[in-house]
Amino acid sequence: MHKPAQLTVLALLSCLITTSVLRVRAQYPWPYVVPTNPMAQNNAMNLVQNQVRLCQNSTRAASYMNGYAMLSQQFQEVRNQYGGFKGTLTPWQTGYGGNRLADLDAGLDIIAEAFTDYQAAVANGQSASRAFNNLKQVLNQAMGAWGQEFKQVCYQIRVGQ
Amino acid sequence: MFIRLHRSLRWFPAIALAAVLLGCASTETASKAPTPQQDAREYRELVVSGIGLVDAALRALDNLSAQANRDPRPAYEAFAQAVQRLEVDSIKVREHTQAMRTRGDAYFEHWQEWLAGSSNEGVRERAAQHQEELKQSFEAVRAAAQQVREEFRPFLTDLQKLCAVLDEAPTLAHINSQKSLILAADEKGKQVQENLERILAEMNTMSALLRAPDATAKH
Repeated sequence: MHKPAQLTVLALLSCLITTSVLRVRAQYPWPYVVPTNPMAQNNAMNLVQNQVRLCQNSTRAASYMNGYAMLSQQFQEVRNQYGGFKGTLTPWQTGYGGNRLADLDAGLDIIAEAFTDYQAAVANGQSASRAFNNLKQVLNQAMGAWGQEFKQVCYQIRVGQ
Repeated sequence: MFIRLHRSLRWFPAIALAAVLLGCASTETASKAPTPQQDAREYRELVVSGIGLVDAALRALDNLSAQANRDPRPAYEAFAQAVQRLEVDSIKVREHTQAMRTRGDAYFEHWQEWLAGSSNEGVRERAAQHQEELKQSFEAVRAAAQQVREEFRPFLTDLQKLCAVLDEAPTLAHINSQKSLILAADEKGKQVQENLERILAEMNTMSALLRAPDATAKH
């Protein structure tokens, strides 16, 4: 093969390789970009709701002997799932539901204070079982209310539509 | 058979049209987002309920001191319950106050955008006309909300501490030994209540500004 022909083939091949690489990068940007399609939003929303239920269930099951770590972990998981959910929202949804999403964020921060309250109560002399019972009740009710609010916000910002 | 099929198909265009219209209606319902007025009304209700909760906790605290020389256990149990209610039921109002602080101006701008895009022409006009007063009221709400946020947590912490300390033996001697904590909690609670009332007053001003003149007259 002549040299110019070889060069042309090489140039074509390199073009094909680079464009295919670029295309692959554009199609699968994971883990840097979270998909914002309706299905991803619905899945993320369901994950949050399931985790809220799990967290509420563990407030009924946990005993003060080993329950604190479990409750704390379940609650942290709600936060993680909610963080993942927010990543699936479109700019329109985060803009339109800005105030409501900020309310939900603040809600989780406030609920988290129940864990420090439990530790303070025990440090102040309250029996661990009574303090833990209080934590369970607060967490159960607060998560229930937060879950309802989350559902309402999802509806308002048209999640999954 | 064909005649029967033809007869039933005769209704098909009408049914299809109805289905399309119903479909449109349901999409419209799904997009039903709260208007700023509904949002403000909800916040107002939360503030009112917050005032009630703080009031109930303070009354339970007073009762605990009052019952100290009799059998304080029932008063203590009622107090512990009031503290738990306050902790849980005040989450929403605290959420709003914290979100207002976090989002800052964006929170109000969001309301303004909603008002500007309101389908109600009167509301749009009044929002534009009273823009400055609304902004001032919102600033006052935000300042009071900031105070509530700062005062609420220490107030709740004091109440919880009292619950924890008195849990084992809510006796007269024990209650008396916590006098300074009781007084501090009472003081903080009153401050929270005062600021919640300030928010309520500003919210009332804002809704009066957005209300139609004849509706204002009626109210």
